[in-house]
Amino acid sequence: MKLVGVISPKGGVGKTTVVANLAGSLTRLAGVGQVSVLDLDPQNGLGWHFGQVLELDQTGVCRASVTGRSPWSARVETQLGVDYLPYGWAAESEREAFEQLLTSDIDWLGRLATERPDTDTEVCVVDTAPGDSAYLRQVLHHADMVVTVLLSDGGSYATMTDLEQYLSDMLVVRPGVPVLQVINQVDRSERLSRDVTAAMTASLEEASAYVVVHRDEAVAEALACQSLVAQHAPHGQPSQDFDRLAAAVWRQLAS
Amino acid sequence: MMLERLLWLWRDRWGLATPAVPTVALTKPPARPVGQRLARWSVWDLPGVPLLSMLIASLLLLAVIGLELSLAGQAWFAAALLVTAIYLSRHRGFMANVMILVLSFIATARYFVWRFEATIPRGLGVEHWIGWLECVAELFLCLWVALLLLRAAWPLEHPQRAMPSIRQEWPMVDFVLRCGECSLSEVEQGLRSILELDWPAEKTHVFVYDDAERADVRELARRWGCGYLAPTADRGHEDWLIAAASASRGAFLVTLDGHDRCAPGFLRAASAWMLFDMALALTHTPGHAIAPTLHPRLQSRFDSRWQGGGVAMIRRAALLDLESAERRAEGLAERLLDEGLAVACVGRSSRGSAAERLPAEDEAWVRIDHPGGDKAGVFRDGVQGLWRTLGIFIPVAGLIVAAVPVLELLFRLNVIDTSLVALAAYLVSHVVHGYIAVRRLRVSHRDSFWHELRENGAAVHVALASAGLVLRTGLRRLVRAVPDVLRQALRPSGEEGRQACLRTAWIGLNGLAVLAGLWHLWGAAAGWPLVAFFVVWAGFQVFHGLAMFAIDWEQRFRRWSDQRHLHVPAMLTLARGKTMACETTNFPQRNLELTLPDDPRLERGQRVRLALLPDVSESMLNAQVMELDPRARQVRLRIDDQFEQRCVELARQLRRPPPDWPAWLPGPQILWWIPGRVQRTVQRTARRLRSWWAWIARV
Repeated sequence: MKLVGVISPKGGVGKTTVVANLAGSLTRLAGVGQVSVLDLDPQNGLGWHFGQVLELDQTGVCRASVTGRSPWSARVETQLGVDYLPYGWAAESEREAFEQLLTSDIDWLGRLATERPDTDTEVCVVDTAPGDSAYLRQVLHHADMVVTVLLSDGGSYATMTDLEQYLSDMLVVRPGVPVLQVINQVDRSERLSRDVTAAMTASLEEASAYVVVHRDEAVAEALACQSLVAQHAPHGQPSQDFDRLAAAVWRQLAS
Repeated sequence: MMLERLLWLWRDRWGLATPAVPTVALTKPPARPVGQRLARWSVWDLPGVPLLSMLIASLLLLAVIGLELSLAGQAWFAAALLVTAIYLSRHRGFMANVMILVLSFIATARYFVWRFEATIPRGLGVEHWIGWLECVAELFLCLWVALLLLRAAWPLEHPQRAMPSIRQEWPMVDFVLRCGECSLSEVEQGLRSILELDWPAEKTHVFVYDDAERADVRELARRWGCGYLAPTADRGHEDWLIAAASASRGAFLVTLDGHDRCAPGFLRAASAWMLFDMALALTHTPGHAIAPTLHPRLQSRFDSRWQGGGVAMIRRAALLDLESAERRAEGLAERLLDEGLAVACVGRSSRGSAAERLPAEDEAWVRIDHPGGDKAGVFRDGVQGLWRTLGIFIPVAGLIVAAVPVLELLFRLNVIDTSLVALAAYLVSHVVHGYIAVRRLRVSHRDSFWHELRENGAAVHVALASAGLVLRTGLRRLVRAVPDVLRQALRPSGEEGRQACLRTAWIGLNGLAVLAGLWHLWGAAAGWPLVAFFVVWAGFQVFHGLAMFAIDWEQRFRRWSDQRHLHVPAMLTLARGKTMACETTNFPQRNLELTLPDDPRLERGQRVRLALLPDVSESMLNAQVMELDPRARQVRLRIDDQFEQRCVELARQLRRPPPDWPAWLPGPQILWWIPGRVQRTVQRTARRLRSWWAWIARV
C-alpha cells in the first residue's frame, strides 16, 4: 500500500479538505475500495466530508492503538467508496499516550501500511495535525509521497521556511521522496493572492511540482452539505483542480 | 509556388511575421498613349476589320511558333524573348499582363513543337513510342498547370482570409460618410455604427462629407471628433472622392452613405482580402453607387435578404495613382481594371447563412472578381470542371515523366533524342517564361531582386531541412505504416494514402535514377553531359517529392496546432463567488466562444471575469456576455479592450515548438541560412570570448 501524507506547517489552510477531495478523486482513478483516508488530526474533521458524524466515545485509530488493537479495526466504509480510519474520540490521557506511542514507535505507520486485514486498499491518504508533531514525523518517515498545502496569503508565505525545513529533514533521511505542493484558495483577481501565488510558484518551481486549487464558495458549501466538492459542484473549477491533483499523485505513485 | 507555400507554412509554425509584401512599385504602362490611340482608331469600326486583324495576328503567332531556327538562332531568339519579358514585367497594366502571357505561350509552344518534331527517336521501336508517350505526358501536365494557374489567378469565389492575429498589424482604415440628403439623426446613427465597429480605435478615422454644408452636420462632426469635409470649388461629381483621398491617411478608404451601415463582416472580410491581395484595389457590396452592375447569375451567390447597405472599400494608393482627371466616381471600377488592378464584389454568402447559430463577424462572405458577366462565369465554371476531369489522369502523366530519367539512366533507353545544349535552349526558355508569367498573375507588385533571391534561398533552405526531417522520421513512420497506407490507398476515400503511394513511387523511381546516373558518371560512360543533366533532373524530382511530403507534414502540424490553440481551458467566475470550468472554442478571437458544462445562469450584457489556462499560467480577463445559448451551453463573450493584448500574448506563448522537431534541425533561425548547430556554436563561442575579454580587462 502506498502512503500519501498531506502536511502543512500552518493550520486552517484547508488540509483536511484537500485530503478528502484528493481521496475522492483518487477513488475515481483507482476504483471503489482502493483508497482509504487516515485521520491523524485530533480535531476529527475529516469524517464530516464523507458524511460521517463522530459519535461520542467512538473508537478510532488513537484508542485502538493505545489499547493494542490494530488501527484497521476502527475502519469505517463510507458511501463514497473510500475507507475511513478516524482518529476517534479520545480523552486527553489517551491522546498523550498515543502521541508517546508514535514518538517511541517510529514504525507505527509503516506497520499500518503493511498490515491491512480485510481491505483492498492500495493508496492511503493521511491527514496530519498542523505544525511539528509526532503525527508529522510518522508521515515524513513512511510516506511514499508528500503533499504540502499552503494558502495563497501572507501567513502561509511566512511559514514556507518551516515547510522547507521539514522537507529537507525528510529528504536527508529518505532521499527521492516526491513532493507535490498545493496552493489552496487561489483567487488571481485579488492582488495579494496573485502576488503570493506568483512568489510561491517561483520559489517552488525548481524544487517540485505544484497544483493550484482555486477559491470557490462551493467548497465551503460542500463541507456544509457533508459531501465532496466533486459531488456538490462537479462543474466548478475546484473540482477540476482536485482531479488534476489526483492525476498528478496517481501518476507519481505509478512511476 | 511549392517553396513559397512551404516557407509560409514554416513561418506560421514558428510564429514569425511574414515580410512586407510590396517592395518595388511597378512603373506605368510604357505604351499607354500609343495603345490608347490604337484602341480608339476609327478603323476598328469598319466591318470585318476586327476579324481580319484577329486572323492576321493568329497567323503571325503560328509563324513565330513554327519558325525553324538553328541552335544558335534559337538561343538568340530565346534570349530576346526573355529580355522582352523581363522588361515588360517591370510595367503594370492589363496589356503588359497579356503580352507576358503571349511570350510565355510562344516559348512553351516552340518547346513542344520542337519536342514532337526533333526529339522523338526515329523508327517504330520501344524508344519511339516511349518518347511519344513522354511528350504527350509533358504536354498534358503543362495544360493542367495552365488550367491550375487560370483557376488560381481567376477563381470564381475566393476563399476567406483571416486578419492577422496581432491587431497592431491591422491596416489603418478611414471612413467617409456621405451625408447627401440624409437627416441629422441618420447621419448620427451612421457615425455611431462606424465607431462601434470592432476595429482598433487608433487605426480608424472618420470623415463626414457634407454636400449641403449644413451647420448642424458640422457641429455633429465636431462633437463626435470626426473630420468634416465640404465640397471643393468645382463641385464635380467626383468631388467627395478627391476630398476623401486627400484628407485621409489610411491604407484603405471605406465610403458609405449616411443611411447605409458597414457590417463588421464586410470590414473584416474586405480588409483581409485587400491586405493580402495587393492587386485588389476596390471591393464593394452589390448595391454600392460606384459598383458596376453585377450579372444576375453571379448576384445569386449573395444573400439577397442581407440588408448590409452599399459600402465600398478602396485602396487609397490605387486611387491616388489615378490621374486626377480619371479619378471620377463614375467608371472608377473600369479605370482600375484598365490599370491591371482587380475589383471585387463582396457580400454575404447565400449559402450557410440560415445555419448560422449566432450572427457574427466571422460569417461566410463571398468575393467575386469583375468583370463578372455571365460568359465569364460560365467560362470559369468550365475551367473548374475541366481541371477536375484532367486531375484524374495527373498521377499517370506524372509517373510517365518521372520514369524518363530512370529509363535513360537505368536501362540506357534513348527517350529524348537530342543534345544537352539544344534541350537547354528550348527548355530553359519554356521554364523561365512560365515562372515570369506565374509570378505576374499571382502578384501585381514586383519584388526587388535581392528580396526575391533571399526568399527563394530561404525557401530552399527550409525545404532541405524539412526534407531531412521527412527522411529521418517521416519515411521511418511510413515504412511502419505501409499496411495502413495501402489500405487507405485501396479505399475510394483514401486520397491521402493514394497521394502518399504516388509520391513514394515518384521519389523511389527518381532516387533509383539518381543512383544509376551516378554509377554511369563514376564509370565515365559516354555522353556525360546528358547523364549529368538527368541526374540533376532526377535529383530535383526527389527533392520535389520530399518537399511535398514536408508540406503535408507542415499542414498536418498546423491543423493540430490550430485545434490545440482553439480549445483552451478556461474558468468563468460566476455570482456569489462560484466558478465554472469551461473551454474556449475559438481562442484567441476577441469575441470568445465558450463551451460550458452546465447552464451558467448568465444574462446578455452581464460583465464576467474569465481566467484562461487556470491550471498553468492563469490569465484573468474581463469580458461582457454578448450572446447566450443555454440549450447548447454556449456563450459568446467580448473581451475588454485593455485585456486584448494579454490574450494575444497568451496565444503567442502557447505556440511552442512542436515535439517532433529534431534538435539537429534549425528552428526559427533558419532564415539566417546557417544550420542550427553552427549558429548555437557561434553564439556559445561569442559568449565565451566576451567573458574572457571581460576577465582580461578586469585583470
